[in-house]
Amino acid sequence: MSDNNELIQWELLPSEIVTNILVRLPIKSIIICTCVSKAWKSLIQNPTFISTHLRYSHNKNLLFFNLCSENQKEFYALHNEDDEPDFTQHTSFDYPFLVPDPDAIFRVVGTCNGLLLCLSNNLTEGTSRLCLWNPSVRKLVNLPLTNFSSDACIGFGFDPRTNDYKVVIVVNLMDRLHHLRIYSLSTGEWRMLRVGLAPICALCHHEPHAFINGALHWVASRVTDNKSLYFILVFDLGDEVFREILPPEPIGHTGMMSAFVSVYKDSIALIQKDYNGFLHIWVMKKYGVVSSWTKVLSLTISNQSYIFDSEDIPRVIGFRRNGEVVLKLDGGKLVSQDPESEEIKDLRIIGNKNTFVDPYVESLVLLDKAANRVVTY
Amino acid sequence: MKFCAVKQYFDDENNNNITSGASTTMIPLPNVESHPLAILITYCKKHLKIKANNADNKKETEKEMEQYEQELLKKVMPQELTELILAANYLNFKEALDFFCRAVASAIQNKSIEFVRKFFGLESDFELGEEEKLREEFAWSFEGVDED
Repeated sequence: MSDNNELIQWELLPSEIVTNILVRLPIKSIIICTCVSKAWKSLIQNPTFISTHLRYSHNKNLLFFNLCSENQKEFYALHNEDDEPDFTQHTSFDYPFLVPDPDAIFRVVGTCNGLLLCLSNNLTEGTSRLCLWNPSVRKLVNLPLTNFSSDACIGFGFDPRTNDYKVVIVVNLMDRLHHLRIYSLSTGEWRMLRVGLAPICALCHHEPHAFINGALHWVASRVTDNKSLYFILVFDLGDEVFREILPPEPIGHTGMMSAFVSVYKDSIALIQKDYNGFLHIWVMKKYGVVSSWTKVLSLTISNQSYIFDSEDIPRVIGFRRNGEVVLKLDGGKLVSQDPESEEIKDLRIIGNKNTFVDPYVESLVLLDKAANRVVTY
Repeated sequence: MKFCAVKQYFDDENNNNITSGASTTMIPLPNVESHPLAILITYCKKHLKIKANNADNKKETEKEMEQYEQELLKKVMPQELTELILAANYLNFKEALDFFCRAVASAIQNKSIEFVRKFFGLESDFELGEEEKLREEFAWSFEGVDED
């Protein structure tokens, strides 16, 4: 090899090629590579690299579960979604710090792109705190304190246009939606979205949100002519405007005992309990197209309401990427049911009162945040 | 045509209306050594052949390509991979580029910082203490790394 070898200078590997190589590595190896040189460090700890890594299709499809250990402490498990029939566990982990005080209850309330939104409620003082946590890179951002009621509806999602994560708190006044408080990870601050833009309606307490297609979704109701009308309230995280989606024709006007929206594939599902002891699952086969609402499953639920702190059995706790619904049965047993064939698979996981499931991928989000904004462990 | 850079050359020729009397055309490729180029040509021919043999069956094509790629990797020195990547990049040959990037990723997966530096011929350009700070911050990611 003669002089020509000098032309191929290895230090000058174009950054697109270094990226092409590095995104294929497991996260631990990517982090080791940040210590190789200054150039590699600034390549990796960069929002563009993090987005590219997120989109890299060979990331494992995982399912996130929040579970409970014997001492009532919450822990989290990631399972391999495509690994049927065993759904082997990929990893499990705890919240890494002692919760600030023994009177506080700590829970994960949502996930997005590998990031977890966590809520810590101090029951005696009546205060609540939020944080964003990425267990894959061991980084955490505490959100600035803001007053909100522990049963407020909280939403969490990603705005692809600004590459920003947003947390939304719905603030009610006299049982009606009054305004929203929005936190942006980029600015690190809360701001208020005023009343003039919020539609007149009420959200159910404690309702889980569904984030899909760039927007948050909740079931809402309003009273017109002495009748309650139910619909799905949509808040676009990018434009920050509200829209409404009508529910399936048969249930819009009847009282829904309780209902919530869930993410279903790239659209939404409505899980509704009626007065006759039935749970109905409707999916919107074409997102936004009201005529595409299809009832896919009806289940009898037993409600042991005479037992304090009871819950319905079975309970819908989420959907898998393939559209199967994950149910929590008697004793906390989790199963996955195909709405069409009605075939049931045992996930071999035991859940608890707060368990939910979310499609999850491991990501590098928060790796690019400055040291003074994140907590590392 | 797989070698997009070469295709560009032919397109340019046609545009300039150069009629070549010779039956072979010499295309200068100043940035590619003969050795990696030979490997890339073989890879390309093999890929096209496998694709032709398994006309409609995409899965069979993938399977055969994987087998061929495993065999190829056994004959290529790890250090040659960087050369092959640069050559495939210059020639704009996407399939080969992705394949070799995959191979490099496998080679450096779970390896130490020193191993990765040696592989790419890189040196640390951190200021004094900066690297120590990073190693401390990410101490957990060094657990279970392969011995050099």
